[in-house]
Amino acid sequence: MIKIIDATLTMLEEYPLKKELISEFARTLESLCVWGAVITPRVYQLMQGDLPQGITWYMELPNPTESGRYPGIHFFLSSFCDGTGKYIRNIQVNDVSELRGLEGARSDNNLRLTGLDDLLIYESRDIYERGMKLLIQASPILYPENSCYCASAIAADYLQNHHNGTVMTTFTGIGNKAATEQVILAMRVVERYKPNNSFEKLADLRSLFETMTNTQIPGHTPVIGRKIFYIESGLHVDGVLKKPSNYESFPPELVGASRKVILGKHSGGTSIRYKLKQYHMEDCYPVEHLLEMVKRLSIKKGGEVTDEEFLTMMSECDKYEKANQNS
Amino acid sequence: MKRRIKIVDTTLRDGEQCPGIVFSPSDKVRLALFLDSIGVSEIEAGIYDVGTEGVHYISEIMKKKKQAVISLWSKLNPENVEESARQKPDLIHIGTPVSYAQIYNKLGKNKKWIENSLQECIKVARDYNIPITVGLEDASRADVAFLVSLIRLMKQQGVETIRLADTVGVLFPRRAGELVREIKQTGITIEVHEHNDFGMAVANSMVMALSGADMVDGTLLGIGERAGNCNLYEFVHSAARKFDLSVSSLDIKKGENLLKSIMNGGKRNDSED
Repeated sequence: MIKIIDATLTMLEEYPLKKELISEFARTLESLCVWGAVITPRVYQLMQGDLPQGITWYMELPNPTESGRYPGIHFFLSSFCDGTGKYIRNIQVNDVSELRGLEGARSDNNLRLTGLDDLLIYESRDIYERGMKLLIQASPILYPENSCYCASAIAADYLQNHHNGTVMTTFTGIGNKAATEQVILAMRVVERYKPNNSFEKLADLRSLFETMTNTQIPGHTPVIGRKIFYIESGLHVDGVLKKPSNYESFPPELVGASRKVILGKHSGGTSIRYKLKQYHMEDCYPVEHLLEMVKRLSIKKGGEVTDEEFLTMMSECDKYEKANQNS
Repeated sequence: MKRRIKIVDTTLRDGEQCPGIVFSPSDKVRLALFLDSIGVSEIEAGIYDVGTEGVHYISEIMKKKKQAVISLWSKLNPENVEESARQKPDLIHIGTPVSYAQIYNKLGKNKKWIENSLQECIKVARDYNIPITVGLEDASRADVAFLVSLIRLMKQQGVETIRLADTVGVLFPRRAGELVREIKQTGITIEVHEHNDFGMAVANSMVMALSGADMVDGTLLGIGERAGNCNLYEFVHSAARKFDLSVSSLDIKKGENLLKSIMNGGKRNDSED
């Protein structure tokens, strides 16, 4: 079984976290089929040891002899442990060639490999194949880093090759890691991971994350951006309205988003007809004329034409028609 | 010696299709000339569309550019190809739907129609003596046997380069590499065009280049439809250790700053078109 462990809470040490938000974050992760969450001693103290059930708890703990202080934690991650029982040994791997060190490692050793940024930038395919074989054999928790902008792909690639694999990720990839939401959705869409589960709570997770970090996630961020289902170009609007899967790899509802047709420089007649239909005015206005007005305004203002501006255009058309009739 | 990979910038075409982004003709000229100056191999300048933004900016780019190939994107339509050809770009890129979803659901056509239309378009471009590349749209969801037969047909007509477009961004690295290795067997030059729906556009482009692709598409800041395209800075930053790209990530960063200034309402001068 594929397992995804989220380590976002270990990256938020500098933020003013609150117990309620952390609990809500963990519960939302669970609803998204995330196997486990990693915390630090500080987060544990904030939670006063009151950890939500239903999710496996991991803790980053440099000194494993202190583990007795943290009841409720299932596994401890440390570079200074033997990797047995509830201790997971962390190994930093900076280069794919270092994977040779895994030869002889058994899958019953508890290991976490951090790094491997260059796994997909291989010198030769053989090196990659050998590395992946060693990874599958040792079956560590893979915690790829993102200095080559490939971390989510590395995590997904590992899970695709190893159906009993476990990866560690963070929401939005914070801390230079693979992004939890990208790995979940990629596995859902391409590998049919948890096909009956809804992932609409990703939108809640986004809001929680934004509250905790006091940031705004950019609109076109993969999977969770608020604008990823906005469409403007005539070709795409036409294709999506005929059948959404023509231009969408997954439906917006799956991630708690919604589709929106934007009017602008690249709009086509289909978009105008779509908007008119929304206002129950399909046959009342000249589509080509409105389209020209939309394009002109979009170019002039350097951005999208809002629904209000489109309504104004419609009323201008009305006035023009009346003036022509009177003259 | 590092293998050469040509960088194709599509900020002005696919990037601008990000809803709400509008480049004026003068913006396009500024961006294109900057990209040309830093060594980008090909610049997809836009879609021929006289009704929207005119065509003078294309001739201005053509006149002032130093080294980059300037291409125009055209639909799979002989009239569109002819209109594009009249602007005398260095190259015309013909977007050709190849997945069954795109052929049957979007266009309401069939494979034969695609083959015939493509041959007509190729003929028009040949009449104008303008080289073409063929963009195999939604190639990642297409039947590979159909792709291969279409490529063989194109090669007979003199087409040398195709673009494998992961139009809805569903490739994983493993399949991305396999696809390139399968298509490479036809002997055609391969350009790859990745979308970032699962945050894998850079990784897929990297794996595809390692698997034998010759050209990689991307946009400044990764702008584009939905979650955008392969981010050029990120790709160049990571790929420079393996390939000769003829462009540095530092210069791409400068291009990003220029783009940001334009998107933030930098000074416009549209009177010239």
